[in-house]
Amino acid sequence: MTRYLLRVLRQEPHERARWVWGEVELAPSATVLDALERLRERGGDSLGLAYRAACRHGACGECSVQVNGRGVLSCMTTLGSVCSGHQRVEVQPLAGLPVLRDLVVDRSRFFTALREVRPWLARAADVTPESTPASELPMTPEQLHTMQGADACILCGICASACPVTTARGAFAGPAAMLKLYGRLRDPRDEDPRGRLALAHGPLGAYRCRGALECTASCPRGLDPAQAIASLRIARGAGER
Amino acid sequence: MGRHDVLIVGFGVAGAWAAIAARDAGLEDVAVVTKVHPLRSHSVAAQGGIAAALGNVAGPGGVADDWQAHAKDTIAAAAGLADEDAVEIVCREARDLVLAYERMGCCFSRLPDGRIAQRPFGGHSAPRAVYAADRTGQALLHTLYEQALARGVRFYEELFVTALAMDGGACNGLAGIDLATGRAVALGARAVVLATGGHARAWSVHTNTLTNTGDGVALAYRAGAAILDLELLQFHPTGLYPQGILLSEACRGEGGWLINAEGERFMGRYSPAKELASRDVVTRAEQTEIEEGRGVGDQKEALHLDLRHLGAAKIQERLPEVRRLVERLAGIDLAQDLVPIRPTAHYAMGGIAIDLEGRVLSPSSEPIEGLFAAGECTCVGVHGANRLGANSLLEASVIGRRAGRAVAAAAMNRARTGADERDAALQKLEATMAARRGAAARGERSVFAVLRSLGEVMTRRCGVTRDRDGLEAGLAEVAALSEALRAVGCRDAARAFNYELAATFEAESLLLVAGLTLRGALAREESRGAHVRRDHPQRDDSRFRRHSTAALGPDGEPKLGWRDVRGRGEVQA
Repeated sequence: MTRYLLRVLRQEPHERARWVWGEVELAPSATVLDALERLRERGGDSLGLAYRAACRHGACGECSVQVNGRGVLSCMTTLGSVCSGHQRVEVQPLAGLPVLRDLVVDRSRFFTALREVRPWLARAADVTPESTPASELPMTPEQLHTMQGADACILCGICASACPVTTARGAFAGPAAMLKLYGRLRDPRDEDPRGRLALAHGPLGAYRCRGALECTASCPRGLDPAQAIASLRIARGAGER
Repeated sequence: MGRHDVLIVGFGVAGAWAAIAARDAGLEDVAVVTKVHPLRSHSVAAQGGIAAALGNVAGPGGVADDWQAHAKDTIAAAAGLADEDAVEIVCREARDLVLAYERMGCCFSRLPDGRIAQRPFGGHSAPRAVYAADRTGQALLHTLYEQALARGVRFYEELFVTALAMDGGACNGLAGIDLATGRAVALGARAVVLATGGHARAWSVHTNTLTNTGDGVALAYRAGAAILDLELLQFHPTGLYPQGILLSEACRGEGGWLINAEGERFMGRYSPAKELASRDVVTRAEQTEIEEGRGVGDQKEALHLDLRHLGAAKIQERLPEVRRLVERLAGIDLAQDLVPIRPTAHYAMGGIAIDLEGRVLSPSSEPIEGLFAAGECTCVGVHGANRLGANSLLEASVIGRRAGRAVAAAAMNRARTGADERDAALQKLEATMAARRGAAARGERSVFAVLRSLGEVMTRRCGVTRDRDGLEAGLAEVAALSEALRAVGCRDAARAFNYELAATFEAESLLLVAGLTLRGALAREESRGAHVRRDHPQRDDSRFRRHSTAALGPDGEPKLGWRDVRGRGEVQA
C-alpha cells in the first residue's frame, strides 16, 4: 500500500472550478478510477464527485479524463504508472470540452462529428439486414490491415480533446472521425468511395489538420489517426484500393 | 412528455438489434433509452467471439460443422436445463446473423483467402467462434450503432429507467432519471423492450461493467414477470487477479494453459478437453486446486495462465487487447510471463422469463401485454445451467432481432393507452428523489459502502461453491443491507449528474437480484452446471431438471416455484 495525494478539479454547473485535495492509500497497481471511487465514497470535499466510468478495462472509452495533464482512460491508468509516491496525481476533465459537472464533459460535438462522416458501411444493394445474404463478402487480412485499425477505435474522445484544431472550435471533424472515414474508404465492401473522398477533402475534412500529431501521441489504443489523415489528404480515388 | 411507438431500454447488442429490426419492420418511431452512452454498453467488453457454424475452418477430423452440431454442444453444456426449441432457433439463425453483421460493415478477422476466420472455444466441437481479434463485442456493437445512426433511431442517453408504467397489467411507458439534469422524466410507448444486461456486479470479483446492476430484472419482477434460474450465475475461469477483469476465453482457445503452484498443467486430471472443457468444468477444477492448496500467490487463491508458448507474434495478432490490459493493469507481458488468474462472476444464465419472440411471461406463462425483453437480462433457455463461450453475443443478437420484429408487430396493433399511469410513476419517482437527495446519512456509511458490502456477501456466500448455512447467512446479510440502504439516503444534494442518487436505485435492483439468487440457490438442492452445492454434490434430475422461478407474491414477498424445461425440437441431446 502506498499513500497517494490526489488533486481533483471540481466544477458545479455555472460555478467556478476549484481544486480539492484527497489522500488515498492504495496499491500502486490500483487505478486512477479506483482512487476516484474511494474519494467519492469518503465524501467530504469529494462528496458527489462526478465522473463517468463503465467497463473497467479500457474497452468502452467512457472514463477518459486528464491525469497530470494528459488525456487517459482512468480505468487503465495505474497510480504507480503516473506517480512514484511522493508526487501528487492531478485529475481534470478532458481539455477543450464544456464541463457539465466535475469530470463529466459534454461530448455531443464529438459524436455529432462522427455522425457527419457517415461511418456506416455504404451498400446500396443490401439496404436491409432482414434479407438473408447468400454468402460472405470476401476481404483479405491485408485489406483489413490497410484500414489502419479504424475498427479498433473505441471513440473515447481523447484524440479530439488533444487536437489543437478540433478544440479550437474549427469545423474539423476531428481525428477519430477521420480515422473511421479512412477505414471505410479502404473497406473493399464499401460502395461510396467518391462520397468518402468528398467528405475527406471537404470543409470538415483532412485539410483542416495542421499536423500537431497529438492524436496519435494520445491514443490509448496505440492507433495512428495522424497517419490516416495524412493518407486521406493524398487519396485520389477508389482505384487506390 | 415524449411518446414513441416503441421504447428500447439498453443498447447492448440485444437492444441494438431490437431497435434496428423494429425500424426495418416498418415502425417509424423507435427510441432507445440508455443509462450510459450507447457505445459503453457491456457488449463491447465481449472479447473472444460469436458462435456460428460457418464451417470455414476445419475441425478435428475434418468434419464439416453444422448448426445441429452447434445445438448439440450447447445442449450438452447446459446440463439438462436447455430449452431445446430456443437452442434450435438460435443455432439455426447464427449463420444468417453473422452474414448480416458482415453486410452491415462489421470487420471480422479473416482467413488468408478472404473468408471469415473462426477459432476454437471451450465446449464447442468445431472451431466455431467468429471473431474480430479479441474485441468482437466492440466490433459488433459499433457496427450496430452505425446502422442505428443511419436509420435515424432516436437516443435518450444517460436516462436511467427506474420504473415501468403499468396500466392494468399492461406496459405503456416508463419513468426514469435524466442524469444530466437530475429531473424525473416519463416516456410513453405502445410497447417497451428491456435489454439492460446482466448483474454480476453484485459480486465483488466480477468481469462486468459498473452499470450492470440488474435493472431490467428488477423492473420486470415488479411488473409481475417470472424470473428464472438466478442461482445459475457463470463464473469465468480466467479473471485477472485480483480484480477479476475478464481475460478472454480466446486465451485458451488459441492454446493457453492453466498451471498450478506445483507447475503442473492440471486440467488433464479433470477433463480430456483440458483447458477447452466448458466453463463450469474449468472453474470448478480451479476452485478444487485452490481449496486443496495448490493455488499461487500470497493468498494462494490464484492460478497461472500460461500463454508464453504461443509466441509474441501470434499473441499480438489474436490477443492484442488482452495483452495491453494485462500489461497496463498488472505490469505483466503475457508473452514473457505467467499471468495470475482466478474465477470471476461473469454471466447470468437466469433472468426474465420470455418466449422465443421476446415476450415477457408471467408465472402462468402468459405474455405481459406491451412488455418485451432480450439479452442477458432474460432467460430464454439457451444456456441452461452453463453457457458456452461465444453463445451470449449470439443469443442476444438472435433474440434481440426476433424481439424487434415482434415488438413492431405488437405496437402496430396496440392503441396508445392513457397517461395516468405514467403521471403516477413520474410523481412517485419525483417524490422518492426529493426524499433521498441531500438526506444526510447517519455516520460514515453511504450507498457505496452498502454496495461494497453486498459484493463481499455474494462472493463469500454465493461463490463458485455454496452450502445451506452460507446461503442462509447470506440471505440474512442481504436483508440487513436492504435495511441499511433505507437509512443511508443520498448525501449529495446536487441535481446534475448526481451519481450517488442513481446508485441508491441501482442498489435496490442489485439487492433484489441478490436476494432472489440466494433463495434460488437454497431451493436448488443439487449441483448442476455453474451451481455447486457442497452439501448436495450430486445432480438430481428427478427433482431439479427444471427452471427455478421467482415472482412477486401478493404479500410483497417473492414466491418461488419450478417450471418444466421446454419441449424438444428435432435436435437430440
